Amino acid sequence: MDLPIEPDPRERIARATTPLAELAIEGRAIPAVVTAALVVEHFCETRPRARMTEIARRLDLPPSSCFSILKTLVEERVLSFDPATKTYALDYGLAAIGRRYLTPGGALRAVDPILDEMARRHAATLVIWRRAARHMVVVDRWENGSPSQMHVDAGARLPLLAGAMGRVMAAFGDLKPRELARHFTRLRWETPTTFDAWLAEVDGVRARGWAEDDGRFSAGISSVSVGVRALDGRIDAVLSATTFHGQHDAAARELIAGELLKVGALLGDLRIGGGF
Amino acid sequence: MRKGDARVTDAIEPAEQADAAGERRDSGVASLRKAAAVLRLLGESRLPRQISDIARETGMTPSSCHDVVSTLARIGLVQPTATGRTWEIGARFARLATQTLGDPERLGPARPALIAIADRWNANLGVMRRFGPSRLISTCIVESTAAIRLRMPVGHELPLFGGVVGRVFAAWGGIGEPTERRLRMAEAGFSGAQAVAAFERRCVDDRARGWAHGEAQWVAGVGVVAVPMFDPRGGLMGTMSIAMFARTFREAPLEALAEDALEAAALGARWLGKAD
Repeated sequence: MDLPIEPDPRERIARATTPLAELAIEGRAIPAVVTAALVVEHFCETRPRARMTEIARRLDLPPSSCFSILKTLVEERVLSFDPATKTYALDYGLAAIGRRYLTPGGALRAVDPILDEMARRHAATLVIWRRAARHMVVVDRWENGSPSQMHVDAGARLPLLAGAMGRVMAAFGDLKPRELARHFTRLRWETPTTFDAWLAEVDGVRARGWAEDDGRFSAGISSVSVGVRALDGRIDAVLSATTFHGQHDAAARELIAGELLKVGALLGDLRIGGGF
Repeated sequence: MRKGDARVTDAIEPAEQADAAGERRDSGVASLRKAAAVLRLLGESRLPRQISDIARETGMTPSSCHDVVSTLARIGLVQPTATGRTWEIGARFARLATQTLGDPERLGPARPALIAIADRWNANLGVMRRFGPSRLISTCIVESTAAIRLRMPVGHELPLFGGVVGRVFAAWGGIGEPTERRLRMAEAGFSGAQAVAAFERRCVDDRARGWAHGEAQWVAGVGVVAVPMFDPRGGLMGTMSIAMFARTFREAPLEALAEDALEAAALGARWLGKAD
């Protein structure tokens, strides 16, 4: 009975990242399961202890349903209940269930189907790069199955400020102006640009949150990049979509950037240690 | 509060909740329990599972399993793998599981100093917190940066008095009621007068010394030093442990190791205290 029961695969990003209260749920779903997830997400966002009536009011739930869901979540160790204050709070039950994802490598495993689908849909090669001193090193990549596509080896490295990812690191990577100038001089551009012109582009990246390079760093290669934050909030990694120059118009690149921003934020949320 | 639910308040205990809504509620709760069973199975699985496996192993009918997995898929708590025929924990679930740990559990600004301690001993630093009445759970791990290193996941559970870490809870946790204490010892494998007396003697020694240590107490080949972490009111908030390969442990100066564990505990407690 292995039926194809996944709703639209193109909605994987939304299903993973849109707050449940705002998610348009396709097809038939079991209300108690959806409501329980809504309750848990609410606790994850708000964190303080709360009484049942407060939770029911905030989520607009009938108190009797809210009570039975809370009680079940306590029995499943997802929430804890303090009889003295009659309040509920998050417990560690989800961490116990999801422990295989709460270890280095877990973040990549969790986003793998999302990035696989995205790579195929946009006919792009998606790459996670991480800073290693003066370079960016490939952590992992998702190819798209096309006969001709960009390929990059795991472990390959490029200069810190190369291409679109370099503009992201310049904008969000906590680099001093002197460091930017030093790293910039190491770049070998296909279509050279001045440091001042490049800095103006970096300012634009700060404003909109993502960067692109349309064949200026490497001829024939177009990239869109977003930052991925580490545990301390610094951007130390980049998620990039790389395609052939001219393959996507500006609107399509903007669409890709929007999706990368969502998955990049998700990756940041999922990181446990220094890596992924 | 909605009409018809005016009787339901936080002050009413579960047993008093039997009412006209009971039947509807029970069916919702049954679905929720099934969803929890699916998530637990997928969380424990090393590999993604087919629907037929999930139904068999959770004891559900195929159609019921299909409904539950479909619902979980629609809200991103499970996701299909790239092949589309097998299922695994979804990215939303992994993010919620990470969020239940809270940002402070990830130790924020204390992390670089903790990594330095981990590197000094090629060890794994871990925070364990109480999880319900009878369990411990690891909520934060800091690994050394050595190429070959010990790895222990976040979300790993132990009996409350299990291993060296459990002895810290036995010594400092304020669990003095004899029946409960015996029960917790039995859960950790200490039964019989001699074993219980030896365990209690070790707890007294640990308390006098300020830290607990041992080799292969819970995991073969691993040596551990564990110390209590106190909240500002002096209550036990968790433990900080330094775990390393047994051979390294045998050669390590225990006093220096314990000093580092105490320093790590102070750093961790300062940061984690912000969450409590």
